[in-house]
This record gives sequence, structure tokens and C-alpha cells, in this order.
Amino acid sequence: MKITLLISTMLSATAAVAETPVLTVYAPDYFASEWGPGPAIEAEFEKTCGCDLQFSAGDLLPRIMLEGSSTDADIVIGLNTDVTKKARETGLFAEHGQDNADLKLPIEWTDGTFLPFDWAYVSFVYNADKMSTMPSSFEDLVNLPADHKIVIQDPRSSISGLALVLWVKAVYGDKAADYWTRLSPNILTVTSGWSEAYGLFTEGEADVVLSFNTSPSYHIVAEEDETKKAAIFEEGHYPYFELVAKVSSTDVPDVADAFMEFVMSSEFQSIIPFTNWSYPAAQSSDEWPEVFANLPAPAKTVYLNEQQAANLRNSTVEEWRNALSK
Amino acid sequence: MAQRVVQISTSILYLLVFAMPILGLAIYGGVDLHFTASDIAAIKFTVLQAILSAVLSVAAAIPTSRALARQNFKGREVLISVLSAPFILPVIVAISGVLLIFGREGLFNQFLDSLGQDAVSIYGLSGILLVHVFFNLPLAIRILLFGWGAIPIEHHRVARGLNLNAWARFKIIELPMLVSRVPAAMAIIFVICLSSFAVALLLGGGPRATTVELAIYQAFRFDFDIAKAGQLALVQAGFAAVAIIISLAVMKRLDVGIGYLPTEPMWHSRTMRLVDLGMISILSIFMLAPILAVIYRGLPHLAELPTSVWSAAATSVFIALPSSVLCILISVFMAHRLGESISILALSISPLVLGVGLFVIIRPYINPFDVTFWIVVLLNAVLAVPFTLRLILPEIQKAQSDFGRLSRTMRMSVGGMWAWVILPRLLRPLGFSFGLALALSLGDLGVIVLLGSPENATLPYQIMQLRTGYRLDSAAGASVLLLMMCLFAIVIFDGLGRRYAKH
Repeated sequence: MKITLLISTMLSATAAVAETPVLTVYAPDYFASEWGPGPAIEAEFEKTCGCDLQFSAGDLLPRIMLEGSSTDADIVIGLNTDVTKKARETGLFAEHGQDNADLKLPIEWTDGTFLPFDWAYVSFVYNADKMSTMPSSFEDLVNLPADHKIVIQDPRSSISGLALVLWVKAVYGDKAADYWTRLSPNILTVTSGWSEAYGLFTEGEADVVLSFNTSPSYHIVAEEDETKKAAIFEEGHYPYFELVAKVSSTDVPDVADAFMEFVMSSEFQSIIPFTNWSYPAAQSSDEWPEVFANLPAPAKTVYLNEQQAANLRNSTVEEWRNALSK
Repeated sequence: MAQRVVQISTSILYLLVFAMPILGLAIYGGVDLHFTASDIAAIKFTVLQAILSAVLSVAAAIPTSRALARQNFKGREVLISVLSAPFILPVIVAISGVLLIFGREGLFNQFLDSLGQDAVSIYGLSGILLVHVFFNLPLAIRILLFGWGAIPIEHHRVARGLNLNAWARFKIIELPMLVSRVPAAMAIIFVICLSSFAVALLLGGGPRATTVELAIYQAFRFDFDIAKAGQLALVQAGFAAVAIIISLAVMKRLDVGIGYLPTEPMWHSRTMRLVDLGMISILSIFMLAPILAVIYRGLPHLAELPTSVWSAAATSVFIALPSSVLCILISVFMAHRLGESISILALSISPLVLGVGLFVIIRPYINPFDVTFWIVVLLNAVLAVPFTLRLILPEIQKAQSDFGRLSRTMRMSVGGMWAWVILPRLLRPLGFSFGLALALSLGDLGVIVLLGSPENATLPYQIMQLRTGYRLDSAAGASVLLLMMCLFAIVIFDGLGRRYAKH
């Protein structure tokens, strides 16, 4: 099947113009993957849109910036709040046209361009079987026994790693560098991306991993494993929003608008939990599947908006690098 | 003459394939030479770990390849093929195998624990070096193995006739071969390790182990600073060029001999055989334990792989075949010392920069995503050439020096000489090279990351997708499939080449 597809791509580099309009959606690899929400979303949207939704997977922001206004993208899905400033400044994105009041988020959402479709709290996930104490604050994490090892992601190459240094900065302010120095003995290693770190954790190499408070839901649902738990910190957690936006230069504006509306629909929202393992952004907790509603969640939210995140990014990352390079 | 023209023009075309993307980036991003303190630290660390990795890999390869060259035993050829596995696997798969052996809970620490010893941590510079040696030792062994094989058997016979002692034999017969091969082996491994990124960071234990490649990645992904990414890529290429020039300057070219078969009785004294086989055993344990761990981890999940993994495997084969044919063609057409040096330079260009640069250059003309297939085929071929050319070139030189004059006396044309004299004598290295190119292409992840899409997912890409989708068991199963495919490619084509080779 795929081979014939490849052959046809080879033979006709520019495929014949389809009769139905094509909605090109740029998405991260994990999103468009067979094991991500992409396929279900495509099938659901194509039921009603009279269009052909095509995912194009890869690095979102660099790609759209390289392509500029000549981009093929109609929709970009999977951006994150810590890089939206750069995305916004390109002027390539249009108003999302949806009512922010329909969102059910831990913070008030006022952005008219980037629309959250799912979210989760950045959290440390641990293996309850291997831990002698359950950390419930950043200080508990520092006080873990020396043989309890943590693996985190590098803020210079990973968006979740960046969310962590911003979170620590928001909690510790001037003392963030000191915190990293104190945590450093427990850090086993730093990985370039989330999947390497999570792999080290599930393979038993590390006891604690930087991930999301919704990560345990995968283990509960798919593996009936309840030993993976998210540590809930009393200082509050940093929420991680995934965003969707419409590209102003789209050649199918009506279909793109229909897609933005579809993102807020219950059809789209109910695909999210079991495919992207995160909270749907437009549903309140009583609409979530039971396993998500039962996940431990923090009482408090610590958040830096786009401007604050952009201002702090270079200095906090440098602070982190210096503290961990000693 | 005609031959020289073809070789040099192919080499220049080859150079363009990877020099153009960098130029493209430079033009797109402009030039702004400015390196921060952390960039300088990254450059220093990158060069340091690459030098140490190259020295250690080659140092370990000298005695082990010598033992492998002079001892014959059952399964020798298969062992040599299987030893290439770490070199061709996607890094994250190979690392997971290494951690199953040397990680915190790995077999090695369990063994130490059973002896009442303290656990040893792999994380740090030592971990980076361990893994780089694990990855590159197979390559160093291959290069030297051909070197030992190129020492004319008469030299050994004469040395025996003259009653030379072991030291004199080493100095007169073996040292010149090492002087001719070691600098090149070190240069190529140094260049490979220059662009290490995920390995260095993960095993280095933190940002102390930051390499230039990470800075490139950061500049591109977060800062969208194309100028900086391009300049850092040039720094990498610059160090690679220096290494290649040094290796060429140090290296002395030798006449290649007719080679020996491992039947010389003087190596079959009991002690020597025991020492050699002991060395081969240690090498095999070090190299094969992580590979066996990958198989042990993944084999139970091989049967339950989703069908998409199998079709991704088919896609990989479908890309690897034309790519390997192209690679062999380029290697033969570029079989010249200039081509050899140029090809090593290609290894220093990070796949990210190569992909982005190509993207920038061709986008004004065609949508790169419409021609992903061809880009991947081309880049996989180009990136395998440094290895295949290294295997093919000495044999071409040998055939030319042995039969060149004879063929010219018969007034044979250049084409005729290649068709009837040289190519039939190349079947052996061509077979292995084709298998190696196939395996490298099958295992390649670098190029596909930027241009990959679910429709033409390759097997390494699918393994990455499974890992990001929490499915580590399936990813482990798919890794075993990939490992089997790579080894199968090498064993089969190496075997075919040997079978039909004319000696």
C-alpha cells in the first residue's frame, strides 16, 4: 500500500489537482503518527468537511519560518506557548475566530490567534515501587536519597525541558540557580528530547522523569500499570498548552475556519485524552474520561505568559547550564 | 586520462551535494561571526571528546583486528559481519543496548554487586567514550583488517627466513602498514564523533557534555538563527578538514600486496593462538553483549508488531536499494584519493544542516516534500560513500597497479579494462560495500527526521514514533527487526561478493 503510494509520489511529483479542497495541516511527528490523535481527527473531520485533510509532519516553527508566506500550510497544530512569541511575530497567523470563553483551562485565555486544544501540567513522574518517599514539593525532590535518580530534558533542545526551567524560575526567582545546584546530585542525566528521557524511566534506568501529570494515564489504560505516578508539588505546577492556529495565507479559508470550529467540538475534544494522553482544552473535568478525572492534579497553577517566557528564556537557560555544568 | 577526468568531476559533484546546502544557509542567513561563551565551551568539548574517541577506538582496534586477521576459526566471517551492528543501528537503539549492560541496573553492575563491589556509573566523559568506541570500533577494525590483509605474505616468509624477532618483525612489516592506515581511521572516526549530539548529552550526564551539534539544533529550532546554525556547521566542517589534512600529511602510501590467508603456521603456535583468541573473545563480549541485550529486550515483542511497522520496513528497503546502487556507482566513479578525502568531509555535516540547507536551496523551484523520496535516496547514498569508497579504493588501486600495464600493452580501452579486468576483481569489496550501504541506509534516521511524514515512514522513523507514543515494547520489537534486516543485508551481500570474487 505504502509502496504504491511512494511510487505514485515518485512518478508524479506534483500530483494531479484533486477535486475536493485539500486542508494541509502541519503537525509534530507524534501528533500525525498512527499512535497519535492525527488519524482519528482526520477521519472525523472528513465526515463533514467535504475536504481532504492532509497532515504534513515535522518541525513546526522552523519549517513555517523557512517557508514564510508561501507556505502550503492552512493550519498549524501542536505549537506551544513558550515559542508563540516568535510565531506571532512572523505575522503569518490569522485570528482563530473561536470564543475563548468556551475553553476550560486553569488560567484565563485571552489570545485571539493561538487556540489551545489540549493541555497538561508539567510534572515529575516516578515509579512508586522504587521510591522510599513520595516527593510533594521541589524541596522534597532535592531531599530524595542520593540513589534516587532523576532524568530531565535539555531546555535548549526540548520544549518540555524549557517548560521546566521556566517553572523553576517562576517558583524560585533569584534562587533558581541555587536550586539547580542543589538538585544536580540527583540528576542522572539530561536528554535532548522527551522520548529519550521517558525511555530511560520506563526501562528502569531512572526513577523519576520530567513529563506531564497526565502521563500515568497511558500506563493505567494501556498497561494496567498503576505504579507510575505524577508527583504533585505544593508550590503549584506549570501548565503546558498545545495550540492550533490558522495560517493567513490559506487558500481554503472556509475549510480552515471549519477546522478551527471542529477543534472546539466534542468530537475533536473526546479524541484527545486516549490518543494524546492529555486534557482536552474545551471540556471541563466532569466531561473527561474517568481515568483522567481521577488523576492527581495540583491545587495551584504557576504560569509565565508568552512575553515573560520570552524575556526570561535566555537568562534562565544560561543559569541552568551554568549550575549543572559545575 | 579520461578516467581521471571522470573521477575528479564526480568528486566535485559530490562535494557540491553537501557544500551547496551550507552555502545556501550562509546566503539565506547571512554572515555574523559571533560565538558566545557557551558556544566556545561546546566547541572545545566537541573536539576533545572526538579526539579521545578516535584515539581509543583505533587503539582498541589494532590488537583486536590483528588477532582477527591472523586466526582462522569457525564462524569468523559471520562474527566480523555481526561486529558491524553497532555502527549501523540508530543511536538510540544502540544506546538502549549499552544501558542494558552498563547502565545503573545493567548486567555489569549486577555482576559487580554480586562480587560486593560498588556500582560504576556510566554517565560522564567515560560514558561518551565507551559508547563512541562501541559505535566506531567496528569501522576501525574493518579498515585495519584490510590493512593486515594487504601485507604481502612474502614479507612474513622473508622475515622468518631472516630469523627476525617479534619486535623487528613488527617494526619492519607491520608498523608501516599501521602508519599508512591509522591516521585515516582516526580522521574518519574523529569526524563522525564531531557531530555527536544525543549520545554525548545523554551519556555525558548533563550540559557539561554540550556539543556543537546541540548548539546548531538550538540555533535552528528555538532561535531560528539560521546564520548561527550555518556558521557552527562551518566550524564543524573546518575541524573535519583539519583532521583530514593532518591525516594525509602524516600518512605514507604503501604498495598494496597480494594479501595473506590466515594459514601461516607461525601464528599457530599454541600461545599465540590462545592470546589472539582471548583477545577476540573479549572483543566479542564487549561488542555483542549490548546487541544481544537489544535482541533479548525486543524479541518477545517482534510477533505483535503492528502492520504499519512491517510496511515501514518495506519502505526502508524500497529506499535503501536505489540508494545503495547509487552509492556504489558514486564510489566507483570517485575512486581517487581526492574523492576519498572529500567524502570524509561529508560526514562532518550534520543531517539537520544538510536537510535545512537543501530545503532552502530547492524550495524556490520545487516543493521539497514532493521529492522527499529522491532527497532521502540521494543523501543516504552520499552519506554511505565515505565508508564504501574506503573499502573499494585500495582494491581498485591494486588491480590497476597489477594489471594496468599489461592491459595497456594489449591496447585495451579504459572501458574494456574496467569491464574485464578491474570490476571482476572488485566483486568482493563491492559485495560487502553494497551490503554496508544497504544497512546504513536502512538504519538512517538523520535525514528522514526533517522530511519524514507518516505516509513514507521508514523503519527507524517508525521506531521513533513508537517511542514518542509511549510504546517502548513495540519500539524494542521493531529495533530487533531493523537489526536483523541490517545484518542480513551485510551477511548476504558480503557472502555473495566473496563467492563470486576472482582472486
